[in-house]
Formats: sequence, C-alpha cells, structure tokens
Amino acid sequence: MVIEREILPYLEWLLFGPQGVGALFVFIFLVAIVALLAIAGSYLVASIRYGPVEGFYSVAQTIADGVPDLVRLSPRRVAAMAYLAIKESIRRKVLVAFVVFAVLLLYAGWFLDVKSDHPARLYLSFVVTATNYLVLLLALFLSTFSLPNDIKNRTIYTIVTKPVRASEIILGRTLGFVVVGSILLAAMGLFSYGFVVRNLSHQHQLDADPEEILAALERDGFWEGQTTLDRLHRHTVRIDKSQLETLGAVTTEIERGHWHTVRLVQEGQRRRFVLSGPQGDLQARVPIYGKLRFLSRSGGPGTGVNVGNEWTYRQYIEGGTLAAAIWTFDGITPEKFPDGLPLELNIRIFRTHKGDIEKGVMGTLLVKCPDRGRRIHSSTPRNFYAREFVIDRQLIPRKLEAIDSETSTVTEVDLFDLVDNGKIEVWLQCAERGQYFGMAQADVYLRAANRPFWLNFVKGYLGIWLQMVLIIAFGVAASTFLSGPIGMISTLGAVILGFSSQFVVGVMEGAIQSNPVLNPIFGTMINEERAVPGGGPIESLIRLVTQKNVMIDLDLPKAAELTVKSLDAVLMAAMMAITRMMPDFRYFHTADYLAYGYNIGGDLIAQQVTVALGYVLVLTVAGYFCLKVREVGT
Amino acid sequence: MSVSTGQAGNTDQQAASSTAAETSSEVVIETRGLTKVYRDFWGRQKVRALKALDLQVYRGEIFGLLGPNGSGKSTTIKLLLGLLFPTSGQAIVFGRDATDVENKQRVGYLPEESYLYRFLNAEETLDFYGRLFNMPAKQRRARVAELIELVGLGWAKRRQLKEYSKGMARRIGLAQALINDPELVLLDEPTTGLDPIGTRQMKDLILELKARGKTVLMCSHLLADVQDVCDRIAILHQGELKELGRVDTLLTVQDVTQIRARGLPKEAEDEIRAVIARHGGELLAMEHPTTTLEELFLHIVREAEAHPGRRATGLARPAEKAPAAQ
Repeated sequence: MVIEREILPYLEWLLFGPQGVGALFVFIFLVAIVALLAIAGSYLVASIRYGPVEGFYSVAQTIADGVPDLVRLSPRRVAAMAYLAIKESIRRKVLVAFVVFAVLLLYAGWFLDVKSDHPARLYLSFVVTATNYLVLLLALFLSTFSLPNDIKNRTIYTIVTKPVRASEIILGRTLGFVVVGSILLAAMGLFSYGFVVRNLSHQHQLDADPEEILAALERDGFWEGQTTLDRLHRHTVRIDKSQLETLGAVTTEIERGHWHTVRLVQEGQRRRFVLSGPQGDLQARVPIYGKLRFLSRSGGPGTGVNVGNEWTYRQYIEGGTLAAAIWTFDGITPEKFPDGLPLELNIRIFRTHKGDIEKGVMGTLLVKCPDRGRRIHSSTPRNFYAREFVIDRQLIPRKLEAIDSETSTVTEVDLFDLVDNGKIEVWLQCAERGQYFGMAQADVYLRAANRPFWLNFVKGYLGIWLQMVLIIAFGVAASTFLSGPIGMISTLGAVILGFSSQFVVGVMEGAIQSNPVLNPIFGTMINEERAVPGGGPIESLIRLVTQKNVMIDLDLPKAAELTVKSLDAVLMAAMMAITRMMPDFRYFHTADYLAYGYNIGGDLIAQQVTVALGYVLVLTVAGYFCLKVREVGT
Repeated sequence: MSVSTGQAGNTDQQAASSTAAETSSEVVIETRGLTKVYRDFWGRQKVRALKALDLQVYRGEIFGLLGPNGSGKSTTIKLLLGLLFPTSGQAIVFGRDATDVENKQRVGYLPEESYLYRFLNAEETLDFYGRLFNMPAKQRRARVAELIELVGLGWAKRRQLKEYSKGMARRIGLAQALINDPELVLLDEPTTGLDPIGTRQMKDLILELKARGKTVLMCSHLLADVQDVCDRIAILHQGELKELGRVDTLLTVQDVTQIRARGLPKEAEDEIRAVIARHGGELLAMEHPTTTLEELFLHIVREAEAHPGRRATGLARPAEKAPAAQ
C-alpha cells in the first residue's frame, strides 16, 4: 500500500484546498445552500398550513427563538440528558457488542491465514476493520432508535414539559452516546492492541551450536545460517565478526515483515547468542515524498508506459533503455539525515519474460544533483534487485562514489555535496531488457523518522472514533423527524454514500461523458480517469436487462437514448448533490496507515477533526429545528 | 413550598374545604378560540379534537375539565403545555405563549399515564427531573427526599420503576410533577390507577396544593373526584364547551330541600310527613342513608390498620347501635 492521496498542510487545506478553494469556504457555501433550502422549504410548508403572512411570521419566530436556544445551553441539563442516554444504552445491552468483538478475536485464529507473508498487516487490518464496523453499527442503532422510542413511549412528555431546550435534548443525547461509544471503543482498542502484539510476538534460536558459530567466527570471520523454525517461518542470518564487535548486534534477514537482532551474551563461562523478539512489524514510518517525473526510453522527458492495467495510476519504465523515473526530494539537510538517505522502494514489476523469479529484477539507483553545471553532479549507479509487494529499504550512505564529469573518473564525495538548495534527485532505472518497473509518486519515499507504534494505533482509533461521532450526530438528527427504522436506513444510506462518494462522482461524469448534449458543455470539467462508463441508473438497468456490457453502444432509437441519458444525468446530478453533502467516510478510515506502518500525520488528524466538528455542528442545529417544530404530543 | 397565595379579591369566594385559600382574579391560563384539528400525513383532516375553546383559569383555584373519553380534555392540556401546536387560536399560560420554554419553570405536569423511564429508580428519576430544572445538587437531594416522603414511596425508592405497580408509578409521576414547586399544576386523570386510599390521598394533596396558593388544572372523567376537589369545572363534549361554572352552584338543586336528623322516633317522622303535606310539598324520600362505598372502604382499611388480625366492622354498624335515625 502507498498513500495515494496527498495530504495538504492543515492551513492550506482549510484556506486554499487542492483546487484553490479551501475546505472552510466549501463548508460555508454548502451550509448557506442547505440553510436557504431549509428556510424556503419550511416557509412553503408553513404558508400552506397558516397562510403566507402567518407562515412567514412563524418561520421567522422559530429562527429568532432558535438563536438563544442554541447559544444559551445549561451544562447541567445537557449532562442530565447525556446521563439518561448512557443509562438507556446500558439498559439496551450495548455491552453485547463488546462480547461479540471478544468472541470474534477468540476465534480469529480460525480464519486468519497463519501463513500470511505480512501477519502484522493482516492482524491489524482485521482488528481495526472489526472494531470499525461493530462500533459504527452500534452507534447507528443507539442513535437512531432512542428519540423515536421516547416519542413512542411518550416519555418525551415529561421531558419537553420541563424547561429543556430542544438543543439540549439533541446535544445531551449525542454526548451520551459518544461517551458510551468511546468507552466501548477504548476497551476494544486495548483488547485489539493486546491481541496483535501477543499474536505477533515469538522467539527464535540460532539453528546451530553456539560453540560452532563462535568457532566459525574465529576461523572465517563470519557465520551464515538460519534460525529455528517458529511460527512457520525461519530467518537467514549472517553474523559478521567485525559487525558484531563494533555494533554489538547483528540483524537477521527480513521474513514476514519483521527481523530479529542477534546479540552475544556472556553467561559465566559460557557465551551464547540471544535473539530479540520481532522488530519492524509494528511501526509508524514518517515518509517524505518527492516529486516524480519520467524520462522516455530515448532519454528525453516523457511519460512512462501503460502496460494495459485499466488503472493508470502507475506508469512503467522499460528495462535496458534510457527510460528512468526521477524523484526530486526537497528539504534535505545533514541535520535531518545524518546517516544518509533512508530510501524505501515499493516497485511493481511487469515481466515480459519469466527471468529469475527468485532474485527479482535488477534495477539501478543513483542520486544526482539538480544543478547539472557542477563538476560532480552524479553518483555512480548501484544495483539492486526489485521484488514485488515488498518494501525494499536502501540506505544511500554519506560517503558516495561519484563521477567527476571532467575527468570521467570516480571520486569519493559526501552525499550532501550533491544536494542543491536542499534538493536532490533519485534516479531509478530498470536494468533488465524486456522487463518493466511500474511506479507512482508515492512508491518511493524517504523514511524521515519512526514514531511510536502505539501512538499511531491511538491515532487510527481516533479515526474510528470520529466516524462514530459522525454517525451518532447523523442518527440523532435523523431521529428527530424520522421513526427508528426509517432513521436508521437513512443514516446508513448517508454512510454508504459517504463511503462511495468518489464512485458516485465517477458515474455522474461517465453519464455526462456519454451524453451527446451535455458532453460539449461540461466535458472539459470531467476527470477522464475517474469517469465510470455505462451511464446512470436507468441506462444501467436497460443494459442489465438487455445484457449489454458497459463498453458497447446502447443501441436504442436516437430520441429514446437521449431521453434516457438526460434523465440519468439529472438523477446523477441530484445524487451527487446529496453525496457532496455527506462526509467522505474514507477520509476517516486510516486502518491502512496502521496496517502498512505509516505514521498518521498531524495534518490529516487535524483535518479529520475539523470535518467531523463541522458536521456535528450543522447536524445539531438541524436536529434542533426539526425537534422544535415537531409536535411530540400526537 | 413557598409561593405566596394570591390576593383575595373575588366576590364569589367560597371555600370548598377547610384548607382552602382564596383565588384571585389573576388569570393564569387563558385560551382564545383554541382549536385543534388532527391531520393525517397528507394533511387531510381526521378529527376536530377541540373547537374554539375559550377558558380562563385564575390563580389559586382548582379547575376541572370534565367530559367523556375523546372529548378534548387531554388535547387541551397538551396544548397548554406546548406538546401540541394549536391549529388556530391561542393558548396562553402566565401571559406567554404556551410553547415558551420560560413557562415551564413554573409548571408541573402529571401525564395521563406516568410516562417515565422504566430503567431508573425513584430517586434517580426525581434527581434527573431536578437536573432538568437546573437545580444545584444540594437542593436537589433535599427536594427528592421531601417528595418521596410526600408520595409515600420511601420503602421503594431504590427499585426500578419497571417493578412499580400502576399506583406507585402514579405517585412517582406526581412527585416529578412537583419537583420544581410549580405555581401551576396540570393533572391529566390524576386518580386513575390509584386505589381508594391513593385516590383520597391524591385528592387531599390537590387540596393541599390549593391551600399553598397553587393553581391546579385537572381533567377527569371520574365525576366524584372532580366534585370533591374542584372549585370550577368545564364540561367538554366532542371538543365543545358545554358548561362552565362553580361546582357548588352547578350542583345545587334549588327546588329540593333535604333534611337529615339523628335519633328521631317513629312518631316524629309521621309528624314531618304531615307538615310537608300541609305545606303542599311532595315527599320524595324518607329513608336511612347509605354511606358511599368509598367511605366504607376507607373505614375498613383504617380499622384493619388499627386492629390487625381482627375482622373489621362495617361503617354502618356502629350507627345501628344508636337509636334508629329519622
């Protein structure tokens, strides 16, 4: 996995955004539209009921009353309502969710692949996904059924006849359910953390007699062998005498996403080798991304090759040619990288012949100074073997061999001699003819630092927590005017739309693209890669019934086809308008960051929190007005 | 309870009981052409529950709304509480619109059935409602204890309400209605579900509220209860106001005279018959009175509590021992 979405710095995101319009302005714009629509709608209803003049006064009065009600809240009353919600949740046996979760973990061993190449990834995504869905489901049920039940049982009578504002009822309930959900989530999180750590931890021994190894070290200066087989895997180890003496420890080869360190311990007369627990499987790397450009096979600026993958995210460079992928990294200083540049490569390979499957495909890696005028601007290429689906670590050391462009001789330079204004280029080429390397911008990065894993774990759960808060806010707002089951389905619909917003946009763009009237007008605004062929709901239905796949013509009479496509465009526009209002839930889904060991950055979290807060605010206000104008006594 | 009673100023003051306080001319509740039409989802008219009701309730009085089922009593109360919105007309409480949140500081409401949270116990319930009035913790604790004492649920205060009998739920419902020491108490069928002792206590309590200067609006279809406690009544039928006035004046039968005496010999009865005949009157009845079943029941229960284990004697028997009446 790579992080495919660029995370903008918080303030830039808030004020400018990716397309020059900041999130703040999008928010204000959307809220204004929704508010105007709501006011217009309620005036329509009120004028039908009370006549145009009375209707106007009743709407104006409601809004005027709303302002103090929303501002002057009594903490005690909100707390009382929250307490009630908590009590109610406990009575409705929310703890069952935790029991389900515990049972799920207990039996996880049955269905989680023990032979997985990346057990940490597997376990982490399992626990995070399980927690996520359980908590969201729970939040959905709690929040959407509570208020309708109160109205049905008429317990609401004794509440609204007390000096309680509708805003306090909404806020109190939201708060109460959030507290319940948080406790549950925290419990699940702790449990999950324990589960993952416990399941990953294991020990190996060196698969040889210590005396033999020591003898080999004395004799040859190194020992090569394997560890014992534990948890269905073993590591290859090469103990170098000098390395062991200078560093005090050596590391095993990486197997299943982790390694062990080997130390020599003196115990009385005897010396023996001790292996640590697994390392490197639970981590939180902080990547620094560069800007990627490609050179074509003739060496000129160009793009990579499309090898036929429908998803054109990655571009491929051909082996044995001048084609190259060049990343320019910025902000490189000796203070930040005292030991050299720790590169991590995540390269896809497209083979036109089998080659050596075991070894991988050979590539070359070199660093260059962006300032080509310098006498020494390029290091000598170094070879590496690219393996698929494995993150390959390459440390570019401080001391490098570089080419003197005047004398064409090799001299030794410091890495930072090649850095120009904090910038340095990393060149990747495929060395084997007939093989291709595929890569995208995020596939190669500098690993700037490692953050504590537990902190990343907490951040990942914060994402779940925010999703839960959003669902509760949605559910409570929906329950002010919908009955329990309807409210639940609506909230679920909102969540699904939120999760699939990109798809909805894609379908709409596809529908516009295939529309002969709309395409000339809006065609330029369409993102070709995102557009989904096959049309909107009506066209899809026709294709489904007539068994026409999405790539062939619809083959209807011209007028009928235009009608269908135009109706579809309208439907999709309406659906997209709704989708635009919904939070993009994938934005909060940071399970992959956790599983693949990337640090969840502060900017992302700040953005998540801001988005969630914005929605909660708007939903609370909306819920307040819905509850206020509702006759609860019927 | 500390609310002062209203100034006595009305000429038709007549104490209904020994604990009665005076009503004042200050209007607490006023409805002007209050109309409620229930509609279905599509806005089609279903029921016209209340038709242009005009009412005034004064400070310090007990006002009864009477009527058969479905006559609009509960609708009126819900409109006065802002639980329903009027289709037309106005419901005004303390001079403000009924939906105004500020009103609710001064109002207590006992719903038709005690719609309370069944998973709370009595103390938690009252504490919760106390919080809704923004009462500080100390005041809340004192008030909760006081009210539990008042409604006689001290023995069951730690039990969840779902274990309560209907009568107990009713009592705790009343307690929550009084948590804020309201000036105006709205009681929807206050005596349903209560045993005769509870009914009597409820009625005593309503009179007690009046004595403390509170205004009470109750609705009921149990005529005896209304007759016992109310100062004024309004009779509703199918949403229309049919009768409104003071209970004592409404119920007095002007052309009938009732004589009750104890220890009269048989001859005296004959003499009285003769006197009535002489004045051209028509003797409607001369008989030994029966007590009400309520009186009898309460007597027996009191007896049983005073002398446990003994079979109680009826209310009428001690009277029998005395020389025959009339």
